[in-house]
Amino acid sequence: MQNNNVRADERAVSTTLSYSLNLAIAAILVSGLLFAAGGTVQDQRQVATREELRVIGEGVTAAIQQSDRMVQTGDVEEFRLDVLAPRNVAGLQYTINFSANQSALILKTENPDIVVEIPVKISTEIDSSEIRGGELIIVYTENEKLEVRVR
Amino acid sequence: MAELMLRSEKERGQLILVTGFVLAITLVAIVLLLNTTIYTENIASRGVDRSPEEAVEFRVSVRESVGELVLSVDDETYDQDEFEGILANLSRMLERTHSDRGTIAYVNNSSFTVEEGTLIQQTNDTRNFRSDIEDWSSNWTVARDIQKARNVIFTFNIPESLSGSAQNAFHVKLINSTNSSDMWSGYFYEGNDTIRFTTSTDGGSGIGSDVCEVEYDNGSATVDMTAGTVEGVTCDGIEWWDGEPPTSYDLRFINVSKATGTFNMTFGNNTELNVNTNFYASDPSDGPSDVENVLYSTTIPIRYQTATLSYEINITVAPGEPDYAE
Repeated sequence: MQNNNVRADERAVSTTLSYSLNLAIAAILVSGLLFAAGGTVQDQRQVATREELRVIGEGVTAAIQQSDRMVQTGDVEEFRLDVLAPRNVAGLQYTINFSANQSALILKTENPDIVVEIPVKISTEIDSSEIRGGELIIVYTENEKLEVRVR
Repeated sequence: MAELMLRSEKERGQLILVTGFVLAITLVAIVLLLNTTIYTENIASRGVDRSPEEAVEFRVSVRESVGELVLSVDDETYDQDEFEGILANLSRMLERTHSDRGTIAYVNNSSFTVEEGTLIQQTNDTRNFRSDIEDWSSNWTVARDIQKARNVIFTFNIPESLSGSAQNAFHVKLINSTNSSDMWSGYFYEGNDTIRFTTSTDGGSGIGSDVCEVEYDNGSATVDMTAGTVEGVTCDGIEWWDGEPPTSYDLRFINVSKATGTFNMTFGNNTELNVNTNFYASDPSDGPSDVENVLYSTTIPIRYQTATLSYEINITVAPGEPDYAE
């Protein structure tokens, strides 16, 4: 009787070891999946943020260049142009500023640090400071400069 | 033993369920990001606000239309009432053309200002470019202390009468009123059925190589020095001074017997301009004449306003000035 029971028993390892191995393999698989998925989300977020900053920057640059053309000819009494831009990109706040030599528009976010530069070529001087992205206005100031402000 | 195995299977099942839940959340996050990307692409392809372009079109229309009006009345003494009346009608027409729902296009024809000038002209095309003095000299001073000039146009009748070389050709000489060594000359001569124009900046000893050649026909050739054209065709070498003219300069005609035809030019700022009336006839068909107090330019405020743009500017209309075109 005992010989028959032993022959019928096909288990090669102990129950404890089998359980531990299964748990470890499952944990490794799950960790790997979560890690890859999280990395994909982070990458796609950066790509989407960079692309959206580029599109917003080109729109603002086009508006600035149009403004430059309009204030170059004649004696300007008043100039104000509204520029619509989203407040956030991919859920992140962003800022807009000009480079030191006013040859480029710089848009950037923090955490993650993403910086996008768009070339700008205009004749009028810019009265610039860093501003938060969102609904903007471009005005021609009394000292004959263009200024980009938050509306 | 069996109970232990059963419990571990249940726990493995919970782990897989949690993993599935986290992956589902991750997929939702990716979908939201995809939505943001699609929105961004939509912004890029969306129709942009055309208010700035339309405002520029309005400004250009006013400048061109009023410019035509100035040219139509600048051959005689300025009549303010007549000009105001025509300008008012022109303004209303321009406003109707450019106004739309929610758009204000306004020409303030009640607040315009004018600058009067002097027209110098000769209409007798069989006469050379000498002054009206009986014992005329081959060289004479057309005007002194010129600060602004427009529509400087020569029509050479019988271009074959022009000199065959630049050295003894008819030429206009511009001299800085405060520095007589600072000068510029433009020479007109002819060869092989072409009008030729060249320049010099040192009184003639260093005449440059040919800078402009244009074929002419019909027995005459019209040169617009301020527009830089010959027979209406742009010729890059034709200019009015090499670069920016000095603040004040004199104009002389040299070798006047070498050119036959008509000319006209309008100078601004009558307050400073100095014209010797002895050189001029009262009738332009007799010789060169000077007509004082003609309209040189006008400055008009215009306004263009939409929901996103507010634009008010004073535009100065002086058609025919160098670099006048937008």
